[in-house]
Amino acid sequence: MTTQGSHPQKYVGARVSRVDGPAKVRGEATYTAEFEVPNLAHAVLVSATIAHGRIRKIGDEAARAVPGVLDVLSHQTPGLDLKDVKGYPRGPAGTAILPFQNGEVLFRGQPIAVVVAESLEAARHAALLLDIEYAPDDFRATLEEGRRGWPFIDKKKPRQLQHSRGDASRALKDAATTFEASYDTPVQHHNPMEMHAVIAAWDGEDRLTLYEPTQWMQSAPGVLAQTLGLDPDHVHVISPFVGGGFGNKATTWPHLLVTVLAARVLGRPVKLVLTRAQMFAAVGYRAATRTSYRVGLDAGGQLAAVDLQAESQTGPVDLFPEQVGNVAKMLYANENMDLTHTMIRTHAGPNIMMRAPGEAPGSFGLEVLMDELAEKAGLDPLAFRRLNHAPENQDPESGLPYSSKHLLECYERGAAAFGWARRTPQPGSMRDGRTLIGWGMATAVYPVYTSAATARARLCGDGRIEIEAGSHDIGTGTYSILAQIAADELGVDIGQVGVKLGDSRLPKNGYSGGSRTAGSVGSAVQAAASGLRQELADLALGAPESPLHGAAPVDLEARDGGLYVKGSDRGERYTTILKRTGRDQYDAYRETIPNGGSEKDLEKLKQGQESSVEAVTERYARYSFGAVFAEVRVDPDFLTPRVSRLVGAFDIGKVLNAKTAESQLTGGMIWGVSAALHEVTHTDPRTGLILNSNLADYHVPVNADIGEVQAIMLDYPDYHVSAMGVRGAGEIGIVGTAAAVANAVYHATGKRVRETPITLDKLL
Amino acid sequence: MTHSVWEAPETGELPLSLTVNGVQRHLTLPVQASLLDTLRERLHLTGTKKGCDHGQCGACTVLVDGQTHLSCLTLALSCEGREVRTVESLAGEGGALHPMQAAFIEHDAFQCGYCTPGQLMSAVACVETGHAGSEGEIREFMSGNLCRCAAYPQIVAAVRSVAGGQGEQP
Ligand code: FES
Ligand code: FES
Repeated sequence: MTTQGSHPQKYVGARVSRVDGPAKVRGEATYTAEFEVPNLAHAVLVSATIAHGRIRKIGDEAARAVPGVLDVLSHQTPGLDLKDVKGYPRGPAGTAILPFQNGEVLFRGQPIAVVVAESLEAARHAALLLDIEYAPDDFRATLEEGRRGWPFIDKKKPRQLQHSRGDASRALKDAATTFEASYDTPVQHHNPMEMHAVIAAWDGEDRLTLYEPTQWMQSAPGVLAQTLGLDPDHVHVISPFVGGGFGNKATTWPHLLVTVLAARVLGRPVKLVLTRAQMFAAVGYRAATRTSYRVGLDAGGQLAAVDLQAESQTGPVDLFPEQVGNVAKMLYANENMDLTHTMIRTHAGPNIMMRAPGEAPGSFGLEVLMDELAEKAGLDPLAFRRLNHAPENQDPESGLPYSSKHLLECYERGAAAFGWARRTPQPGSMRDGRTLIGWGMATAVYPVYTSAATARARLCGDGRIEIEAGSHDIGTGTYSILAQIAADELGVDIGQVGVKLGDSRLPKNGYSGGSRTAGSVGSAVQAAASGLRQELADLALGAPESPLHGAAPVDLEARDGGLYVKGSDRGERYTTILKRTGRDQYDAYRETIPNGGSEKDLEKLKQGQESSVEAVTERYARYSFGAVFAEVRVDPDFLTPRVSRLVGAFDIGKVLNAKTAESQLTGGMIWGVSAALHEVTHTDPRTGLILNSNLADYHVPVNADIGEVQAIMLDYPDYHVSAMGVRGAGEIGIVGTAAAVANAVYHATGKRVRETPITLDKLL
Repeated sequence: MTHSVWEAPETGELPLSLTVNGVQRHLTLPVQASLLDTLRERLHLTGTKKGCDHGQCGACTVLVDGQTHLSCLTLALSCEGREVRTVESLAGEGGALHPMQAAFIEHDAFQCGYCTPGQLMSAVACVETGHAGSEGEIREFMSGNLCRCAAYPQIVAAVRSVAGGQGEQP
């Protein structure tokens, strides 16, 4: 294979508008529920109204009598057997509790029946007419209730997660000062604006087409292989646009299996769309957590010991830990640490990852703690963090050097843009008229996850380039960054590049979660596009008729839709090279393994299994960093905090698209505001009912809740992650922001709230 | 334990004539059909989105006789003889983008794009009804449309750029 010289970067790194923008603003981007499938029947899911127990009987006579109703399915229907699913995340958490297998109810909102009808209206009406009798049992619906113990069968007890280094108990005894505090974060629900939906259409007995909004093309085929014995390659998943995911579209949930079963029983395509209330019950949530710290400082204000007892809630049978202790393990220099993380079972359905799982709630506790410690040490919160900064050459957890760490610069640039130097330390000391002003800050950190990846680049007869990758754009800008990468590698106008995502028949890729897609799939697309360029170059150099014949490969550059000798007109267009081959298109397929990964990761990926390369490899600890500064304004009479200003500075590796990356970061920061002041799922411990399972009572920010938001990106490529140096931008914005806001609220009011969301009642 | 059996409402069907994006439509609909489900499921105009079906998110915003309406809370049959405009009608001759659509792209006023049609309908109304005089006024007017991707600052920038002429008020 030929190696070549330069290919100037025109698009990568620039502020490029989303390539899928026109389709989205025209209303032409087709989301799952919008595909037109002939002879479609409409399904409405029915959810359990007890938190634990058994279904005695489902009476469906009245429902079946509604004109247009085709069928009612439940555990009473014969022939709906499903085999258990193993392995995460393709299996549990989403399929920890398979639908319709028995009459057991393990959480309120569990799918227990489905009504299928000719029209949505008829199905919805009939679903209200089911007569369901339960035999209810005792239950634990919340983390607090779960602490009372789990007197129920538990086939797989959750393990404790532990980390220990140095001698924390001794260091705590010897510390100059000690401090204790606990921090609580509540259940939250992802609530992407697009509700979960499925269209299932069988082709014969063993082939299936599925439309579903997914963060992982390979999840449903894998689950259906295990539950129904289908060949995963016979399950065709189509998901070109996803109306937000935030983690809850990264696994397969029971309603998908329900839809597949209904379509099989009826022998025709079935569509099922969850209601917003069902989005609060049957598709996961961020678990409630508590982090209880005992910390020792030495005389100079440095961390001497950290003892952290963490708890997180989990569902009745699954085992997803909300890893709330991770940030505390590594973010600051500290030689002595004891961490025990206990999972507590609840009848709340399986929990699952939600934007920065672990890091988001964990950083709330840690970074409010740091604010409290700074005050105790008599130091400015920023100065205190600098004092405890973990040096670039030593990650406190692994002892390894960081791959690339510019946190001190984040502090500096964030503080300068915010004007932090003008902060007066005393709570309540800054005012604008009568309005109390509070300034708070926090550190942000997020591990770098990567996956093996595969992609295909194609030169079409008309000179257009097609990029294919079975990956996802869940609002993250994947379509755009892949088009940018390909356009630069091949020296074509970005308008000449078409990117295909969201189809399980495209080259396989991992799930889009943990900020991994840009770096991982981006690398595969870069390899495929540069591979295509090199193969075309080889063809041209070897063809006597080509003006490039005999040229030195290193002298070539890709530009103007072809290959040319640098600084000259000697060269030819790709279409000319293609024509000479006599083919009507030319493909290059490439597979990439990220740094720290192995062939095994690639093999797993190609078999549709989860394949994730962790942040800490044998040689480097790989993390993104940031610093967030928040200003709140608090009315002194009404005590209503409003976030008027947010500045974040982020060290996220190479930035592929300054426009879309910035939006991801500001979006994440607003999620942090939401966690700090708005978001909480209220579950009634006596009934297991979620009391605010709608978008009026589950508060997320609206436009008027948000003031100025600025995200600064440092743009240092991290070549220990990949050749592109990308670390991803999706999650880190939320990390630390809730604490920065909470610390600002304290600075304004003098009231320390150790629990989110910080609502009025907690400030009184 | 038994949960109550509801009284079956009328499920009869009735005829409806209305104009959607300039096209005269004649339909026969269940009485309880919402305008949103009618647009999406029967007319296959899926640009208008369903985010809650309860009037709480704004994703289903359309114009009925020039006024913004939440189509999920609008009974289709109440639109007899009326004129409905959806996001599909925003682009002009030959598909040229409406200035608000172009501004949304330029300012990256969306990520997943699911709230976008509703945001656009509200944004167009914000400017047309003279509520885009300041950032604060835009934020207030646009607060009926949730964006879980939280593109709020970018939405404000997009509306401002189109409103330009309406001038800055404090
Ligand atoms: S779908 Fe109508 S307001 Fe949410
Ligand atoms: S762009 Fe995703 S909800 Fe607004």
